[in-house]
Amino acid sequence: MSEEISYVMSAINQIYDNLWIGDIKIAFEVATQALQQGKIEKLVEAAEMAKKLITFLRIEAKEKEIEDKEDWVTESFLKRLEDISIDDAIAGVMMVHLSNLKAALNYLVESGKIKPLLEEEEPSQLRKEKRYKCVVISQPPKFEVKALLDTSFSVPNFERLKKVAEELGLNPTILEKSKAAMTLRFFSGNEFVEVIAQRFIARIIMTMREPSEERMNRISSKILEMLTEEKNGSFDRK
Amino acid sequence: MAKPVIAASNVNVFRIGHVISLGRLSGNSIKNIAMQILQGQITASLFHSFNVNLSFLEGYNIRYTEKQVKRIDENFLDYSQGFRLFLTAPSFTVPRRLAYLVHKFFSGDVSGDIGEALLVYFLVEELGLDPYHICHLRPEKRRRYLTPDFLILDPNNMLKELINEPYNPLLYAEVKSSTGTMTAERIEKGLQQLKRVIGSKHGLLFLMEKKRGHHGYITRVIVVKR
Repeated sequence: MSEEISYVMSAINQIYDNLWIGDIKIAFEVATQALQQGKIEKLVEAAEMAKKLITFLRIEAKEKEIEDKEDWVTESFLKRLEDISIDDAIAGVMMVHLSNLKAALNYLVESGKIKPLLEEEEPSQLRKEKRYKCVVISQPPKFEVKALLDTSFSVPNFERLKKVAEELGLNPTILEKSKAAMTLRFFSGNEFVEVIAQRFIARIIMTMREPSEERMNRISSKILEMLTEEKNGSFDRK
Repeated sequence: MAKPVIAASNVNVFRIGHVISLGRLSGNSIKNIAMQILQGQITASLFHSFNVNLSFLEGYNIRYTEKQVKRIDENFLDYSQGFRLFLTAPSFTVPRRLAYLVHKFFSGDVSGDIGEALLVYFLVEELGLDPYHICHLRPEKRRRYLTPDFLILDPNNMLKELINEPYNPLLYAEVKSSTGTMTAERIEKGLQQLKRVIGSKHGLLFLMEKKRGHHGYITRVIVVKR
């Protein structure tokens, strides 16, 4: 059971990663693939049965005006479970979640276009590179680059960080590292750049005194290349 | 001697002394335990203390919480100082068929949001759990499915010191957050919710509290089993 749950958990997280940068097609593919597993129907059935039972008991507790409703519902639920496995029911809820995600994603894939919520907004364009894909949210003088990396981010050593900063005409500040994430900050007289990397995700937030899309693209590309370089020390978390 | 300065972003995690076996407890006993936890009558020891990196917290906020709140990194300190930030409802509605993808609902404040983000932060950044082994299912709970708030998979035993006894790698967690007064009813509800789902597994109840007039967050972790 743990293996199945691990697989579905990983699929749900991958879907959210792809939704985060707007890659609906891949998110849909991940959902479709994860739902091709064998035991789905049995698990969804268990989830639906548990849902029905708990809803029925809540109504019954209300009708009977039970004083300690929470406890009565818990005890009655555990007594009347019979053929339902709680673990199956909870795994089934993950499958229900996955199915609902797939249905909503399917609607987007079929309609072929993602419209922004506000009409005046331009939809962000997904840019695919060799080791990552990203979108830019332009709100000059502020830009946010959201990137999904193919592999877990690499931690640059000091020399590499200094070299990249020099090439970009920026000054680096001290790198902050934790168990699972890293922040880098760069600045110049005209720009402030903050990089937050968490596993496969990187966010680059830039503020420019003289906003330039070209400059923003150059900075973000260089930084993302550095985060996805194989020769850097990999971020050891496993 | 000068008092130690506690930053607003400081989180102290207390662990309730022993694993509580819910299976043998009646409704009244669970009520009593909830009251004892609230009143500090059950021994709790400081398990961990950390300062939150707000940039990382925002990452977990975006990915794992339920409400439509962005940039808690920019508002966390104000909120922690006791300024309660009320949100304005968005001026547009998400198209009906796409609402599910947003999976977040609108709420008037952000305490639950901070609590959920802090939980993931604590598990990943402080205890070393893989972020891809955490799944937030509370949106389905709102659709009346039987599920805990979070499913946690821990194949590498990263939570062994927290749980302090052998455990199944699949764990269920409930989170109750409060910036006002935590009540015994909420603790009792959390324990009852875990009792319904844990089966032969362990469950974790996280009580995230920001007490008014105090800097920092206090988190109490209650480990339960059948």
